[in-house]
Amino acid sequence: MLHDLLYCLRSLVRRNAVEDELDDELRFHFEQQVQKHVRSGRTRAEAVRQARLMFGGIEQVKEECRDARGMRWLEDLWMDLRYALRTLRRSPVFLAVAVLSLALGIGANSAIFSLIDAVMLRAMPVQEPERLAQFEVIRADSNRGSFSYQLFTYFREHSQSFTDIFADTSVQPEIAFKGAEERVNAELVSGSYHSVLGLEPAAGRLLNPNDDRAPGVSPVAVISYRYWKRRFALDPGVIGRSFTLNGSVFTIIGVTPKEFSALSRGAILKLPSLYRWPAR
Amino acid sequence: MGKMAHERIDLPQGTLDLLILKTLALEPQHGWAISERIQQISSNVLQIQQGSLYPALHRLERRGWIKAHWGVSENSRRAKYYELTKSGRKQLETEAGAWRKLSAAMAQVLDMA
Repeated sequence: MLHDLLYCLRSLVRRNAVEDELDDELRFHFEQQVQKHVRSGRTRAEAVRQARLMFGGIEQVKEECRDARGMRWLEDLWMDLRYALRTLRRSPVFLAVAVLSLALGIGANSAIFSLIDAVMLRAMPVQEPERLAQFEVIRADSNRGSFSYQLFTYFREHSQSFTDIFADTSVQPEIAFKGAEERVNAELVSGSYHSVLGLEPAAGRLLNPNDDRAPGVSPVAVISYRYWKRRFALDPGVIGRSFTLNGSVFTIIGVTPKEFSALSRGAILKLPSLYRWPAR
Repeated sequence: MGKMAHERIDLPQGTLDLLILKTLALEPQHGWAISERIQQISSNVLQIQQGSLYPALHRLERRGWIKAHWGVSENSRRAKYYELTKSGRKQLETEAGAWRKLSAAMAQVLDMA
């Protein structure tokens, strides 16, 4: 079977060579036939005529040989494709317009699908994402408002429909590692954040409700796997390192798992929300 | 497919394959030599037409029972030579065996009194 396939492929790809060979082969046979007739006394012209008669239609023989080679439909398809290309080359404007339209169409579709795929279709890399629900505050003028911390704790303590609730908001603080400042995307989260989402740390530990209880006392932070890879090259010594933020010293206590970085895109830092954010 | 004087003996397709394989079992030959040899050995009973010979050769080549290479003929022309492959030799044995069995059986039936 493999031999068969290779044979057919060869006859397809090196079509001209194969056709020439066939032509040569049949021509040789024809000449031999002519010679035979000449040897038995006929003139050359007569011999050729005789040979032609015996030969039958040479094109027909070639056709049969082509059939015997198999892959006939593929050969025909190939020929049609080449013809199409030759024709297109003669009208470059048409070709350009066609290619451009196709490119735009395909490009636009791909872009939109990628976006939708990333935003909507991919399940969140957390435990049981279908059980998560999001609360929002809508003000009287239909704009989004924010929860106050008291409201959050009230919900958390009195809710009967939810196993647990966490709060998060995004910020962009400037943090400094031993003086080198950088601006990062961060989330302020309540301590229950990681347990509600059911995440396992990639290193160290993740936030828990205890971290909420002591405001201002050596606050802790969790970084994302991406940040850990990018900035610290997966150095396990990152646990315990500290940085300053708005004058306070934070300690890194863990890293979120590889697949999950944050609920808001790109956030690489989680800080317990009890940290008092200076009013801006 | 074969022709005897003004009569035509029609060989089934597999038979021509068998003849070609047998002819090549002796030595590699080009298409012309094959057809001449068959005609010679069968005392002119079997004359193979080009129209059937070459498609058959190409078919056999595709099945891998014969393989081809280009060489120089006795009269210094470029010609395509065919030779039997290992699987071709096996195929020849199988088919020759089957043929002999068949013709023996046919003979028995036809000789029934």
